[in-house]
Amino acid sequence: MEPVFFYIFAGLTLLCGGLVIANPFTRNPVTSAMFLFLTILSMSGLFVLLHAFFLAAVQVLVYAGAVMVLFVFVIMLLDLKEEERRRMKLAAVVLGAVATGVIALAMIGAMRHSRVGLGLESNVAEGSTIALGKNLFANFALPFELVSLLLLVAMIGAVLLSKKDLR
Amino acid sequence: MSAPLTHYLILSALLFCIGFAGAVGRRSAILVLIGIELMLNAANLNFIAFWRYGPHPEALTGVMFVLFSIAIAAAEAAVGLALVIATYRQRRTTRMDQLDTLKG
Amino acid sequence: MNLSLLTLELGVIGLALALLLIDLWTPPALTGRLGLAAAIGLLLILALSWNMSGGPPVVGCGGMFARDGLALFFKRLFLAVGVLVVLMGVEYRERLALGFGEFNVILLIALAGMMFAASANDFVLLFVAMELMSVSFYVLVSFQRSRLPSLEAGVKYLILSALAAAFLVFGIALIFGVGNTTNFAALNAEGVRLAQDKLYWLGLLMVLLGLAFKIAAFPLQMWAPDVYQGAPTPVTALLAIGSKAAGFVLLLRVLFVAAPVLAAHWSKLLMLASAVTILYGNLCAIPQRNLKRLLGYSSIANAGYLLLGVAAVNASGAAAVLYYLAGYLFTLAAAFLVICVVMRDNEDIGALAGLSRRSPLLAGALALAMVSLAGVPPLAGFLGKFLLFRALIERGAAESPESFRSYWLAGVAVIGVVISLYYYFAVIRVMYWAKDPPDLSPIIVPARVQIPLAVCLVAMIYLGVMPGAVLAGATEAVKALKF
Repeated sequence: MEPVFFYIFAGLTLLCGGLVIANPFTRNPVTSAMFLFLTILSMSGLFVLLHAFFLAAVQVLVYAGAVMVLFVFVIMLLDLKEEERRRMKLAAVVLGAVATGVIALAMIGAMRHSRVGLGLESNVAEGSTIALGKNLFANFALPFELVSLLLLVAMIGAVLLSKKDLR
Repeated sequence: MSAPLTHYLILSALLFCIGFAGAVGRRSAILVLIGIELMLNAANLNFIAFWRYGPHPEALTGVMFVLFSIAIAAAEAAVGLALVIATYRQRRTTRMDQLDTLKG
Repeated sequence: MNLSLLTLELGVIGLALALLLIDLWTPPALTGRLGLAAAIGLLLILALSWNMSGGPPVVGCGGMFARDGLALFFKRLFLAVGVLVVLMGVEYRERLALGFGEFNVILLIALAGMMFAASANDFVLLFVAMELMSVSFYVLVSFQRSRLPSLEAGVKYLILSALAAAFLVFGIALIFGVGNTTNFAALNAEGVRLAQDKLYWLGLLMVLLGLAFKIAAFPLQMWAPDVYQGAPTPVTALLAIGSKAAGFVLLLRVLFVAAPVLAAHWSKLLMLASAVTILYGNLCAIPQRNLKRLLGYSSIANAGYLLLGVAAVNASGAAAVLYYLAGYLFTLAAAFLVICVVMRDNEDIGALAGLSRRSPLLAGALALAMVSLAGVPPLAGFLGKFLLFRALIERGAAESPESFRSYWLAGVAVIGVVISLYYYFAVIRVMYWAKDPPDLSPIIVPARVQIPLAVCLVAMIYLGVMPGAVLAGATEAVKALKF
C-alpha cells in the first residue's frame, strides 16, 4: 500500500506547489498562500510515510499553524489586491527558466551517477519522540540553545519593525 | 515495500525548482518569501528521506536538522513579514520592482 | 556540554542579555552610556581571549564546536570589530529611529553568531550560526525604519539571504545523504570515497553558493552595493568586516577541514570566481558618487582578492587571507568612523570637499584608509595583497599544469588594483584639492571617536611595517587546516 500513498502525496505536493507560484485561474495572493498550506499538509503525509511522526506533527503545527497563518494575516492586513497581469520582460522569463532548468538538470544528472540509495531498503528505525528529546539535549544542545537566541532576535526585531508608534 | 529513495529525491528536486522559479518570477515580496518556503521544504524532505534510508538512523541527525530548519524558517518569516509591513507603511507597495531608491 | 569551551561566546551573549534588561530601567538620556559599557565589556572579553591561547585543539559539544588557533584568531578579529562598531553606534545613535538599547543587543548577538561560526566543525552548527547572523542583520540593516532606503536595503538583504540559505540547506542535505554525517572531521575521513559521487559535488557546490552570498563574491554579489548604501553606517561596517570574515572562516573550514580532497580539484573554479569578482567590483566602482555604495563595490573587489588566497590551496594562501582580513578590519573601520562623523545626511563624495581644512585628523584618516585599500606601500593593504599574490605564484611554481592559470589570475588581480587606484584617489582629491568647498566650518571630533580612530591608524601602519607578529599568528592558526 505504501507506494500508492507515496505517489498520491507526491502528486498532490507537486500539483499544489505548482499552483502556489503560478495559478492560471487567479493571481490572488491568498490563493497562493492556501495552496502552500495544502502543499505543507501533503508533505507532512510524506513525513508520516517516512516514519518521522514527530516532524509530521511539527510540520502541521508550526508551518501550517503558525507560519501560514502569519502569511495570510499579513496579506489580509495589507489588503493586497490581485497582482495585475502584466507582460513580463522576456529577458527575465528566459533567465529564470534557464536558471531553473540548469538546477533541475544538475540535480537529476548528479542523481543518475550517484550510488546513494542503491540496494538500500527502508529500515525499521523510527524517529521516536523520546530518542529525539534525549538527542536534542545531549549532542544537539548547542545548536538548540542558539536557535532560542535566534528566536529572541526575531521577536525583538519583529516588534521593533512593525510596531505602529514607538514610545 | 515502500517507494525507493530516488523517487523522494526527484520529488524534492522538482519541488526545489518550483520554489526557485516562484522566488525569481514573482514580484510581490510576500510571494517571493512563499517561494523560498517551498525551497526550504524541499530540502527538509531530502533530509528526512536520507535519514530514513541511511545506515545510521539512530543518530537522528537528519531529523534534528529539519527541526532546526523549521524553527529558523519560522523566525525568518516573522522578521520578513514585519519588514514587509514596515515597507508597506512607507511606500504602499510590496512589489520588489517598485523599491528602487537605491541605485548608482 | 563543556561550558568552559564556550567562555568567550557566553561572555558576549551574557553581555547582550544584561544590556537588554538594563535598558529597561535606563532613562533615554543615558542610553549612550550603555553603548560605552558594551564596548568596555567587549574589550574585557578580548583581553580574556589572550588568556586562552595555546593548548592543543579541542572538539566539544557533540563534535560540533572546535577550539583551535583558527577559531581564536577569528574570534579576536570579531571582538575587535565589535568594539569599533559599538563605538560607531554611540556616535550614530541620534540617527537610529528605534531604541538604541535594542540596537546594541542585536549587534552583540550577531557578533556571537560570527564567533560560533568561527568554531563550526559541523554543518548543523554552521547553518545555525549563519542564520543567527543573518536574522540579526535583517533587523540591523532595516533599523532606521522611517527611512525608506534602510527598509529597502533590509528587504533586499532578507530576500537574497533567504534564497542563499535555501541553497545552503539543500546542499547540506545532499552532503548528509551521501556522507551519512554532517561532521566535518567524519566527512574528511571518508573524503576519497565521497569525492567520487557527483551528488556530493553538487551538495558542496550549493553550500559554496550559500557562502558566496556572505562574502559578497560572484555569483551572489549584487546585493552588496544596495545594502551597504541603505543600511545605517555602523551596520554597514559590521557587514563589510564581520560578516565577510565570518564567511571566509566558514569557507576555509568547509574547503580545508571537511573536503580537502575536493578543494584541490576546485582550485580552477575558485580562480574563475575570484577573477570575475575582482573585475566586477573594480569596474562598477568607477562611476559611483555615493561613498558607501563605492565601498560596497570595493568590498566585492576585496572579496575577490581574498579568494585568491583560497584558490591558491596552500597554507601560505590561507595565512595571507587571515592577515589581509586583519588589515582590512582596521582600514575599513577607520573609513566608516569618518563617514559616521562627517556624512550626516549627505553621503555623496562631494560632501567631503574641504575636509582637510575642516578636520585634518578625519581627512588624514580617510586618506590613509583609501591609500591602504588601494594597496600602496607601506600600509596594511599593500602587504596583504603582496602576501596573497605571493601565495598564488607559489602555487603556480609548485604545479606546472596550474602555473599558467595562476599567473593569468595574478595578472587580472594586478589590473584590478590599477583600476582601483583611480576611484580611491578620487576620494582623496575631493578632500584635499576640491575647488570652492561650500562648507568650511570646523568639525569637533569627540574623544570616543578620536581614540578608536587613532588605534585604527596605528594598527594600519603597524601591520604594514612590522607584519611579523600577526603573520606568525596567522601561520600558526592555519595549522588547523589540511591542504
